[in-house]
Amino acid sequence: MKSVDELLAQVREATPGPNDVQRAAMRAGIRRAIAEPAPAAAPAPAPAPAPVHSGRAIVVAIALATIAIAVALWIAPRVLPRPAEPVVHSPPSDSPGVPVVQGSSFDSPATPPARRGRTGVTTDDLAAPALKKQRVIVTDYGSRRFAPSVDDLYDRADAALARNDLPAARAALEELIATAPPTAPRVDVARLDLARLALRMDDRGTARRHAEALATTTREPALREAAHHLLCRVVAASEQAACAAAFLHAFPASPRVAEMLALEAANTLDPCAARPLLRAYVDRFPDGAYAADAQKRLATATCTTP
Amino acid sequence: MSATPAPRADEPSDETLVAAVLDGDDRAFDRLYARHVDRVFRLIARVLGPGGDVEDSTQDTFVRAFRALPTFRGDARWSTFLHRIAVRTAIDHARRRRDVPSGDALEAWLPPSLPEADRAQFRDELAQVWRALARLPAERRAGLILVAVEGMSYAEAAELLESTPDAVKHQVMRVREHLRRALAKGGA
Repeated sequence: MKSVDELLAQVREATPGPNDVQRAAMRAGIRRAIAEPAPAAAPAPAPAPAPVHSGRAIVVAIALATIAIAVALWIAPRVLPRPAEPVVHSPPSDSPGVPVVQGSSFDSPATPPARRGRTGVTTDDLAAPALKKQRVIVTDYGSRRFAPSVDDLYDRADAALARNDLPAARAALEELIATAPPTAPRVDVARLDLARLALRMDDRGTARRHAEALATTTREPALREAAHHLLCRVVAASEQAACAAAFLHAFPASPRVAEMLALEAANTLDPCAARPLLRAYVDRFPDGAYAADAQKRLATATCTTP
Repeated sequence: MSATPAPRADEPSDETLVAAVLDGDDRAFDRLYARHVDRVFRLIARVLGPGGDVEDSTQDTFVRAFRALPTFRGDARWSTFLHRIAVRTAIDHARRRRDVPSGDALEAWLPPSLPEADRAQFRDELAQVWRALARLPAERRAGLILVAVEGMSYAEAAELLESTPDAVKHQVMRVREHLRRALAKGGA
């Protein structure tokens, strides 16, 4: 048995560092956080006032206010005149995907936030160029709001996944991918999440489309590997052996080698071609999940060609 | 100790960059982040263990450090100032979660260069040591990690833990003993 020091040395050796995607995501989070005002110290608690309303009266008041707001929201669109469709212009060539509303105060899509004095790092100054400009959405009734940022959409998807609301998570990820500049740091991660989510929702076509796109476009090796792995799970059975073989060629040290080798061996129907794969699996992973099946096939699949 | 690499001779020191941030040079904090993020991430990962909220804690650390910049007096190195915040942040996060790491979380800790034949044993040993460490209060675990994993002296660890070298030494000895007994029982 190893000593405490030997085991702690293993902990030192094994500790992973951040990858590029994590570095970029953390930096974006830091930018966002430091652009917000620092949380103020909690004020001293005021002396508790004497109770004026009973709890029941407060509940009734809140319920009445909620009903009044709902009625107002329902009536307003039917009473107020509907403005003409807003004119949305294509962005200038240096700001892809950033529509600008003509004649509004949002002509300049990225109004820099106020500087923060001596410690003045601002979101805009620290932001990567791809994240600097925020889209403007004009609603049916003429009000304008900023489109959610990449981080907002990602957070929304996270929150939806946490409450197991798969359609909402999917919608947020789809909006993120459709609207964010392709170089934004979280787009690749969102694409992988969307592919996995689509598979969970049994939409193999979408899963395949996004896994394929990510496997061919991302520059992040860990994401490329994860996308390729997912792709091999969603392609048709007739393509799985070739997909797994390509995976094994591209990522020979992946922790998913056992699974991919099993996939390739299981989907290689020609016994002569399958035997070396089955033998390789049994030799490398004698306790693997596919080992028993591989042994069986080795015993029965005979190769007659020399 | 795997210290943050010192800046090259033609690069400004941390303290120069801190002064630049305080003077309104917005890019300087970005450079401090780029220089220290890997070191801080690993330090936090070691205190939290596999499956911990390492990204959130690292992010919190830099935000807290940025907000605390005006209080940096320059009587210690900025990296010490930052690492003290990192340890405090990791301890705060660790107090919220004391899960035993899952198999997937451990998998992410296996060095890619590890031969396939050794992976299962390495994973089992990591699981064993983290099962034992996860039962310790976060501050004690941090003390052991700083000394036995990060390779700091008791004085350096005490500075980060805002304690005394003697207290840290005593604590680390007791934690080692706890760990030795727990591992002898199979990490239970």
